[in-house]
Amino acid sequence: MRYYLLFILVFSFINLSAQSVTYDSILPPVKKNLSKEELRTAIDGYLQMTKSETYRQFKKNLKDISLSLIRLNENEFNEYNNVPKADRDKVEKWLSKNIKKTKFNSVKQAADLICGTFKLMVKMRQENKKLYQLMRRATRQQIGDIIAPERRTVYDIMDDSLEN
Amino acid sequence: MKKFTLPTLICVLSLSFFSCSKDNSEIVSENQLTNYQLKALNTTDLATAKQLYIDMMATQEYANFKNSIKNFNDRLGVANQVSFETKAEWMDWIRSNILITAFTIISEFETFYDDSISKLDTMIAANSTLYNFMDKADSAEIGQIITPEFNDTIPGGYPVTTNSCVDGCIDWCDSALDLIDNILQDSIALAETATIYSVQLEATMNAYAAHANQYLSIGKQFNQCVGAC
Repeated sequence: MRYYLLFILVFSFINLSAQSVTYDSILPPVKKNLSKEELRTAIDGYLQMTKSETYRQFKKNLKDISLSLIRLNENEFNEYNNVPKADRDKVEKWLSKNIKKTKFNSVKQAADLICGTFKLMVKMRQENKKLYQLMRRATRQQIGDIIAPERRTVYDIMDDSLEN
Repeated sequence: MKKFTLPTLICVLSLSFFSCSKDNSEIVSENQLTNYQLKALNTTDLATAKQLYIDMMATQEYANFKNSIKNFNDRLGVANQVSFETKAEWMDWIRSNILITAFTIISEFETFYDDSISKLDTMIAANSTLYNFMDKADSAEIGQIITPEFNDTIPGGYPVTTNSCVDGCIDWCDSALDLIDNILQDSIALAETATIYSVQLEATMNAYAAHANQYLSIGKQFNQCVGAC
């Protein structure tokens, strides 16, 4: 619940700064509820997407970013998360101020990775338009079913700790 | 096991009670290192220690400590399998994780932590004979000595042959992964209600980034937890 509230706070902050980013088209509200078949299509679609090169690269980048930001405390990480990743100037500005707290070697290298990851996400959505149209209309419960492949287990944790 | 974490898991199972009760533990660590090779009690000492532990469980100091730990763990909530050896590590952890606990501010956490440690100190001081034995015991013997702790949860007592400490870490890890999975679902669902495209994109990005960050943090804590077993 607390996370949820925090997210709403983060969310409203982005809302305020939304005017400065480029992708400012209005999304019409939709009625939420997928039919059984639509849900099945979305579930398959998400699973397929997780096998795509774009998705793999996106997730790998997120991990690399997290590893580089591992020394940030909670407030600092939230501050990072509030920086609009579509806006390279703002990302660079944040990085210049905080680069010493990160493991990045340079502002440019970090901004390339962070903004590049954002672009990968946009690309991923474009490659999976049908899926994202369905996700837009999915209920909270259905979202849970669709993104089930994101679920990690203790075995993933163990595998990852062997890697590192 | 679940309700019995903070100093008990680390301080009893990892044999570092003294580093738990003193912030400056370097001298004690050295001491533990020399003791390490000599660990193992003779049969008489083990029997005495077992009885002393049972006796201790009837004391007011023990009840105070258990009570304090219970309050602490209740507020840790789902994170109650996290264990660290020093206060500095705990403070470091809470600064990034206060949101997954029921603590509202860092100083509240510190107050509860200090209370548990002070009750632990009092309990150890009142039972120095027992803790001297436990300091010399190896981990299997510690398991036997603290068996009565687990009688209420495991019929027949604490199974020395299975590694309950690691099981505890796995349980914690599972529930932490559940939690971040739910947070991701909430966040993605919320992002999908955005009315401006840029907001939707940034919110989705934040959801995945936060998830990656939380996952990494769970991995780190899991390793620390297992490392302390």
